[in-house]
Amino acid sequence: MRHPSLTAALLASAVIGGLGLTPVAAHAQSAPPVARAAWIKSCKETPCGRWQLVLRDGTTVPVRDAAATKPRSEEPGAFAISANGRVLAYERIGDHRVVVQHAGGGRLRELPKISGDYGLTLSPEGDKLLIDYFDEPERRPSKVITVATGRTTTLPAAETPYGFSADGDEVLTTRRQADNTTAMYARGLEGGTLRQTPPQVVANALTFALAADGKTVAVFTSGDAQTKRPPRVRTYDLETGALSEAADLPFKTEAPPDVAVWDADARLTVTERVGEDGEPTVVRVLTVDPASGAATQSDRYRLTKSRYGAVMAGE
Amino acid sequence: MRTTILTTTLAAGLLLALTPSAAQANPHHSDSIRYASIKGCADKNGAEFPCGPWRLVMHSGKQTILDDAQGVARKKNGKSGRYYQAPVAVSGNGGRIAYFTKSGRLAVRTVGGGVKVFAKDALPRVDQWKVSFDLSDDGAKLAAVIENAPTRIFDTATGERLGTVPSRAALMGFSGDGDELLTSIEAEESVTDLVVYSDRGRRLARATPPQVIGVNAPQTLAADGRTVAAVVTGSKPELVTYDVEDDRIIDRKKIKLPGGAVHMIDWTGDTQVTLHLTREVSGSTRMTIVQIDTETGAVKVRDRYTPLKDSFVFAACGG
Repeated sequence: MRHPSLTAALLASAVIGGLGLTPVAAHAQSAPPVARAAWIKSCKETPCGRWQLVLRDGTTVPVRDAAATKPRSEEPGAFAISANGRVLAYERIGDHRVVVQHAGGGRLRELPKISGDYGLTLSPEGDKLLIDYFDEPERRPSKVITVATGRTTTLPAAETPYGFSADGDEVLTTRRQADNTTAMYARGLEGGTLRQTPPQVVANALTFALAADGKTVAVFTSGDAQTKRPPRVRTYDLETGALSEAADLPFKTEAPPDVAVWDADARLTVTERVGEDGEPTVVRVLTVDPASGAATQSDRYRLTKSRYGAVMAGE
Repeated sequence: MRTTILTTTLAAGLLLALTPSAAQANPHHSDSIRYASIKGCADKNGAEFPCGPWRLVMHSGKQTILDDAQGVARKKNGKSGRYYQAPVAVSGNGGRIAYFTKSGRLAVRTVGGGVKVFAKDALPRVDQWKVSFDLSDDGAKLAAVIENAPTRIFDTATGERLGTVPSRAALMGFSGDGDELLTSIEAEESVTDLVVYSDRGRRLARATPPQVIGVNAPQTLAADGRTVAAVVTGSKPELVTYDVEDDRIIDRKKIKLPGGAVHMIDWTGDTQVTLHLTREVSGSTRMTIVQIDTETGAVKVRDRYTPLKDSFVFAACGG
């Protein structure tokens, strides 16, 4: 492996010191590091070792203080990367408090320890953190924390969050209603909520992305490997209930993207992962026009097959 | 509650008796099949299997044996299927029952009347448990659903095959007058479509209904061949009607329902939907049958019973 010297210096010190504790190395780089993904190794089918951060420059550095597993558990510790790759949130080794920091180091916030099983999602810019409790039935409400201020917004306990709008001002959620249908909400963190009971094709989809306007949802549905039909994208308006025509995505797999985020130009950045955990995996990041399905590749990288699991930026 | 049913445990046979007044309240059910049941036996490992003949329990409380019907299913080669019962279906009005005869022929018997035995080649030669039957409300038509083969539709008076419906269209039942069939198809992108076929197998309508119809299966088709009804159970019960030709919700009516899950739903009149609701009470199944007025939303209990406790499986009349 070849490294530009500065990166090599970062890598060397990161290996010794770990991220977050090597501000000198981080500052030595001309631009702040951008993370593509993070993965944790598998030892006898359990997570082990250090979380490894896959950087945009092609290097991989360990995150020294991120917990491999949840307390007394073989589940991997919570870990999230903002869609822009600049902010991390993870469960710390030892005390299992959640910490938020820059991808290149530099602590932004420490949160109290969270008990029970939960997942972390950062807003695309990394300025907000969503904590989703995985309790069944859902009793503990999900929370959104503004990283800079620590301000906490509590979401209704019955709603399942799917992530932030592009600007982080809203959270997209769904809720099972008394008539067994699924309602979809764009819940403004400063107040104001849009709600619709969408058609089946939206309600049964798995990947969504809420635009910065707080009302336009990109909806991704699965393709069909047998008929070689690729996954599709539509837009759904939570204000009017209007659904666009579908556009085919130029994907190699039938699965919809794992991650999708709107950019400022009414296009979507979608992440396609080809390969299960434990298999060599190629991740492609594409910019997609939801009206036509036309896509251009903006990034491509590999994830090691020796991983127990991985999270990608924006996931 | 208009209809009161006295449930009396008689003996090991465990028969439930309908009070005379209740039986009279439903004249068209007074001498008809309430349900068919086959007994369950256990092997030395405790695994249950069907045993004995199909038994018919009438609305009058009388119990008879369907002598000429195959009880335990036979394999394609004629050997016993042991763990499976041979299929039966009771028409909505309780007047007819479809079954396999002991010689493996398809037959439809009319209560208090004769039996129509179908041609030898009416059905393909398959293991009998891979076939299920559905009769129209009046028993005039029969659908035979065959695993991995098109569904065959018959006239039960003549035995004539009217048409077929593709196997991927999962049959939900005949329309109120038996002239159409309602099916559902798992379509692309995780949606479920409703598809209406004529009894000749011609596709008449297809739509992807809104969630409130799609998720509250089973649905039922009215005699007009286009109005679908579904019921929401739970804390806020509703009757929802939907036009499958126009892909449009017609009405949502709040209704009052007794507890239970929807076992069957059938249009039984121009403005009547009949529901079979089941719930498990201390290890046994309790059936409550209600009639819903689709205009007013009024709900009337038509019948209640507990199927024979030794049942391996039972087949209720639909309507």
